[in-house]
Amino acid sequence: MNTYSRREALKTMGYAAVAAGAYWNAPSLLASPLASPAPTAPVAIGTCKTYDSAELLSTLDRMFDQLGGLKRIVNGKTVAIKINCTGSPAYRLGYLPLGDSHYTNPQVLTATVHLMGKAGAKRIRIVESPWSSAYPLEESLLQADWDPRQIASAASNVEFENTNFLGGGKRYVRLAVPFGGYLFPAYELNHSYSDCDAFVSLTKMKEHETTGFTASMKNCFGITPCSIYGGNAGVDEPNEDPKGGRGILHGGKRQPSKIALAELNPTSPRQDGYRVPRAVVDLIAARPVDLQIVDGVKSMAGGEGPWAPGVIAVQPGLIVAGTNPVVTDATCMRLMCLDPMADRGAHPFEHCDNMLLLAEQAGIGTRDSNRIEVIGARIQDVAFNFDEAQSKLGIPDRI
Amino acid sequence: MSGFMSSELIPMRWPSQWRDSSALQRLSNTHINCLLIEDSAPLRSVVEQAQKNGIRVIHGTSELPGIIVMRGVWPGARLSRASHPDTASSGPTGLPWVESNGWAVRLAATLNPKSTIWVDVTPKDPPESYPLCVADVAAFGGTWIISLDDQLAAGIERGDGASMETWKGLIESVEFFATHNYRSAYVGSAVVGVISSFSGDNQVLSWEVLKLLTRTTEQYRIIPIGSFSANSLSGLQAVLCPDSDPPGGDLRKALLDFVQAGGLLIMRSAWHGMPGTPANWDNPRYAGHVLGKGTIAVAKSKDTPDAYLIANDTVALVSHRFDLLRFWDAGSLNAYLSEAPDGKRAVAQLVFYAWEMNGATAAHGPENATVRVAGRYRTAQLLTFDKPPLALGQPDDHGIGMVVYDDSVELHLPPLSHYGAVELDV
Repeated sequence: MNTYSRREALKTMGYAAVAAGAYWNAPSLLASPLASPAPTAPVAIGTCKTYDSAELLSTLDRMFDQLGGLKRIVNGKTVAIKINCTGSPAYRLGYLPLGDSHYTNPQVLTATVHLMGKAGAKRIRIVESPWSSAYPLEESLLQADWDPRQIASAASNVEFENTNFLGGGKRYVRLAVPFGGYLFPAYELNHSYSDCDAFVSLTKMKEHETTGFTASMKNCFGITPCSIYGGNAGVDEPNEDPKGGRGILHGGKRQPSKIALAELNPTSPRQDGYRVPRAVVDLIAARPVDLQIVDGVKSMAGGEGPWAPGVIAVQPGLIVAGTNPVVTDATCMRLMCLDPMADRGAHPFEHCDNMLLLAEQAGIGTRDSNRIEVIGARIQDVAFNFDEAQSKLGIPDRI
Repeated sequence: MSGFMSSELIPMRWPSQWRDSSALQRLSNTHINCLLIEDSAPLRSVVEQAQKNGIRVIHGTSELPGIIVMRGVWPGARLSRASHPDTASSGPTGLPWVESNGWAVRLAATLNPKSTIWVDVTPKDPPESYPLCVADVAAFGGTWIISLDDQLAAGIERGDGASMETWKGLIESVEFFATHNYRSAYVGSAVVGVISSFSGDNQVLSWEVLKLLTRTTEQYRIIPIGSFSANSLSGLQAVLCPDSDPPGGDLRKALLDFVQAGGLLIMRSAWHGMPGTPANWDNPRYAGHVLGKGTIAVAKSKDTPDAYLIANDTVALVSHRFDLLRFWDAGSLNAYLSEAPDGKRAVAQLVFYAWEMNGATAAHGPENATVRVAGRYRTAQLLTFDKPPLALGQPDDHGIGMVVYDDSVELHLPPLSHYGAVELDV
């Protein structure tokens, strides 16, 4: 990773154009070549038709073996698993359980926790910043109809933490973005993200209204506490009773609480299609993701949650795992019949930058299929076309 | 008032422009049997004819034996919010602000157990839904004094189609509660008890806590200190004491026994010499004390607390694990679960104020709400004002029906307007 050249390139090529409002008409802005190719890593693809625990355990166990074994990632370590609980737990897609559409499925989490326990994890902390909440994470999970006790009993030393605020820590931790950052040079986070030796993104394979697509990378957008980066974040000090979403990162109408470092360039575009992909890349650089598990057994097409217009439930029957989030997500996109090489303006990035491209240019990982080793099922055999599913079965808006 | 039990009266404020006694025909085949009517010459013929028809006539509500008349609010949601997860919310709850009477009806009924509660509220201009007002009061045990806005009264007088439809909907909702008297056959279910004097210096906070606790859909029992008895705490997981002074005397002893047996006691103010040992928990607003099998949570701050935080902290301290009702896609609602004394039947009454989806908010009920009801029920039937009862069995092709779990049932409901009652049998 050559951070100096990247930062310099941005400074000399980009900021002037950004300040002039020319960003959206300047596709070459992101095309600066890296001095060396971004790293790659193997990706395991498993087929799994149900959330039956036996099927999940055997599928995940095999996939982790294909990646070199879970032991090398978690043995003797404190592991943080970032799950994906986007939006209020009171929203469902139709009558479906949340884990069958837009939340991480609790059975996938339980199986993962169990296998990590067997692989020697010293402590497993389930982390998420649930919607509009500073209450214990277990309470949000119960509202979603999960059973935290079942998850906690799947291994020893399993705990939960709501990272939407200070939580159980004494202070926030500042994690710097090694390449300097696209949006912020560093982020103030709940202590859980520095306490862990291994960080896991366990999420859902979905499309996304803001970023076109979401999997292990976009899941990490949710590690930011709304007490500092939310719409009602405190100005001077964090607001430890956060409400709403991450308006500061989305629209950038104001700066985060002063405890955090300010934006690198407050005159950059205020569009969320510009900002959110950059925040995501900053975050996965600041808090590297050691293992990605993407649940595509059941999901939804057309958006990231039931609030997105025209969304439908789908059953791709897939799980993807890897150790490089860019590589893993590029593979997920191919499995969804989406093009990870697409630039801004092309599907599914019609209204946003391609966060995978940004991550590749930051030296985090490659999108290039020629450089990605896929283990397990072949993409061409198991790919599931999300767009096609939606266009065939799309439902109208409900109001 | 002779000839009628006060609880049997269904009152209506007679529109002053309905001066012809023939207008009384509009009440035939309805359950309206009591008119609040001006004592004036132009309406004398209406009064005489009403009395001949066996309708009770009242000229004022100041002194009605056996009836408490309380001023209410016109129920509904303030529709000013977009619901995308990343948009700002207008209210402290992140949900539309809801005006409702249910909590106040329950409080009045608890404080006046031998009285019937009438709610006097005139339609706001323009009224969004008359059946909503009927349900908002009746689901919680009260009776709305039916009152028409001038435009509707005039429209009915003219026989205007839309006005007649509104009248028909109103009458259907009144009829529903006249024929489904849950208040006499069922007893409220509760997870948490709220103990307060509900008066004096404690009135403002305790009333606001009840209002906001209702919005969480947590099922609660109102326990006035003055009428506390040995049975007051039966079946509860937790007790909330929002008053400025901690409970004393026999009440203190009963609460400590409750905690010793495994209950949770949430207090605004600590006793001198708190019993128990400090709990190992990390709560920003409450200090914990372990006593026997239970816990006492005492507010850390001596400042006047925020009722919103008290209500929501209470729900979290008790834990959603003990939810009797849990909702998905139900929008802004109030819910009241009650059960028959033998525990074999229950009814969940659901009053819907607004529904939010796809960035829009609408003043009607949900399209596809799901309700989880704790308990081992085998059958469920959905009742509404305007449709035949619907047995909820195995989910149909649209997903509507009931899914039975070990400890609960999940009800997948069809599109609803402002009210639904689900009758459950074990």
